Amino acid sequence: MGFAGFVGNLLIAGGPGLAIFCVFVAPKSFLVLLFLASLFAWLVSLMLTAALFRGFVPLAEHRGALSAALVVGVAMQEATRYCAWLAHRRILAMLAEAARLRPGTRLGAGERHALALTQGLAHGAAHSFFFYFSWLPLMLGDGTFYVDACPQMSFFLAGALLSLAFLLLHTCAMPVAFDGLGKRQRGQWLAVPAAHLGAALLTLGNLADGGCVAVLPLLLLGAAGMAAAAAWVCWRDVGTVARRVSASANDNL
Amino acid sequence: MERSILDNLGEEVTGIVTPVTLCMATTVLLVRILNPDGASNSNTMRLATAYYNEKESDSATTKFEGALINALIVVAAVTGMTFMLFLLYKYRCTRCIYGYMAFAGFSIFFTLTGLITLQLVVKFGLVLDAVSFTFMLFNFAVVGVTALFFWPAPLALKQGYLVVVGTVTAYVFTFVPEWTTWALLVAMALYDLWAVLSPGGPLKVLVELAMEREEDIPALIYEARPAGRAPRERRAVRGAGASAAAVAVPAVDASSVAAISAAAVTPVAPLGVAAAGGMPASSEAAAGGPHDAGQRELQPPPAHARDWRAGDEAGEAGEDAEQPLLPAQGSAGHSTTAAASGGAEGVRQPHADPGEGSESGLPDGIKLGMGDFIFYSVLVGRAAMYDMLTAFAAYLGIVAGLGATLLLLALARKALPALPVSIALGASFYFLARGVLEPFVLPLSVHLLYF
Repeated sequence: MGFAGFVGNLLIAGGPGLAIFCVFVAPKSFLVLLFLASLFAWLVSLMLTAALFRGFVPLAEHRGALSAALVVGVAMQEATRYCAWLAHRRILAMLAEAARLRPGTRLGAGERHALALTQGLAHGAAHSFFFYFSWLPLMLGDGTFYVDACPQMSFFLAGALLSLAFLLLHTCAMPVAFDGLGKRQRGQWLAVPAAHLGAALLTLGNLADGGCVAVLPLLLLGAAGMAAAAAWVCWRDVGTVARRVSASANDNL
Repeated sequence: MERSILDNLGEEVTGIVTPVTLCMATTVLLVRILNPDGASNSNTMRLATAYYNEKESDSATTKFEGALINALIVVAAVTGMTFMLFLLYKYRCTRCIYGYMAFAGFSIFFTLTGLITLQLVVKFGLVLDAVSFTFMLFNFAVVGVTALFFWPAPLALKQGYLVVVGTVTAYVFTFVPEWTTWALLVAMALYDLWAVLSPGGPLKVLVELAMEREEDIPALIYEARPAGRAPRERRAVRGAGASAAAVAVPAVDASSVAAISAAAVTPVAPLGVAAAGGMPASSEAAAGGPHDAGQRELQPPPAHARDWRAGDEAGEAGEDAEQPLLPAQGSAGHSTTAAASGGAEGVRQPHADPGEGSESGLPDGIKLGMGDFIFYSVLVGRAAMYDMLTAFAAYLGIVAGLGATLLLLALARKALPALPVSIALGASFYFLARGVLEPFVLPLSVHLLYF
């Protein structure tokens, strides 16, 4: 059970992330490097958040302190997301220059969204790793853990589902946010921090006994919604390009 | 049909980052499977615990002082070995060098790998008889030694064996007690800085001598060969630094677990990340040796590395007719590790014309010494003994340091030590993760509170 459970939970929490990595990030070396650099940046962000609370550890078994940690954490992450946006703009400028110097190469909407998705995946992966995967090897032992928030399933399964929801949320939020920031659509890019804060505060429901029954499905739905939003954003751009290409093809005929 | 700008961009760097990650990952896996509690064994690395044998009950001051002295002893041994290697190389005792390299390589692939594999077999309860095991292990070791040092072999095979060298040696190093490990890592990083950059540094003089003679330095180097480059994009580079063939290095085999009584410690000249700008297709990574493997395709294997380069140029002549032959390059700074094959490496780069190389400033191929692989893996392995959270934080610190070093390489265009930045970042992130991040994240995740 230990090893099978370990692999099972690993795939539940990390399978979609791994799939996104293998399909979108791994084939392009530049994206792999961006992924690693972004992981490092999100680690620094988490470290700074933790440093703010260093004076208060051990964090009191008190809703106030834990909620404060969540809110401050979300605020720091959103500030880091804005820094990621600035870095994204810089990278786009560099790549545009590189594309100009190398005839026959393009920097289009697809590449822009791939860069955003990579940064988002790094965000999600960093959180998944530090919040969940670090503790998963404990499952390889002989026993398991249960928490009052979720007596129906082991702590590791509940954590896997939670981690999955946040991974998808973070991964898909970045293309939406960057697209909104790029097109100056305030509603779009403000929705992302709002969704992030909402998801984080929703997890406070896990402080109640049996709270995960409500929290987990809602979070997974929210993550699916963010994924749909990201898909819509990318599809819209692809559609625009396709329409433009076919229009110019028609003109030539 | 337009290609995406992201295609092929950054391949040189992932060519190095991927094997480093693989080496670190396998070391962490071994540590977690075989030695999760971090039990140290002073018999494993007698050199590293020569002065002080760490005990749990000692005070922090005692541990700190003892660890410092232990680390200094190791660094002194490494320096001595490097000078010995330099003297052997200077007086052309190449047979001694390669003979020892073969012996050390065999001991790593046969003895150390065998012991680790045996422990794994016992741990997982695999059914395997001694005769089959010895037969397979012997073949593995012989192929490894010949592929790395003597005969031409596919690049992937050599790279694979180099990763095995790194993993096995790093795993053995993780048996060094905790305080001594950290002191050793910091000491080696400082030593690397001195050896690579200062005029009197042992690695610098070794490299300069090799440059003068236009020969490869005897060292275990991992070279990332970029894929998908058109031949005309490669440039014929001449010079020691430019040689793509990772020169085999006498592996420093200080550890010899139990079975072997202190194998001679040979310094593995950790060559830094060497930008092998535009290596010809025929040159192969990892393992020069008397016959340069890469040259088979172009011409009969030359007896000496020098001929290899000439052959290279001949082969490239057709494509690179207009390319000037670059002067012999040197790579600076290797730090040698007495205790491990490899050792801190400098980022090494041939003195290519400033106009050459990719737009990113990095040359087409990058070399990193096995010493760097080993010390990175030791750091992450030691971090994994505490927690996977600290291991991951240390890993990210190391990769960030490696990236920073490569950026500096692109700017400085000369050999640089690859250990200092990575070890500094890796170690600081380990301690920060342990002291700052974990007390914050753990209560949140235990209560299933994520953000």
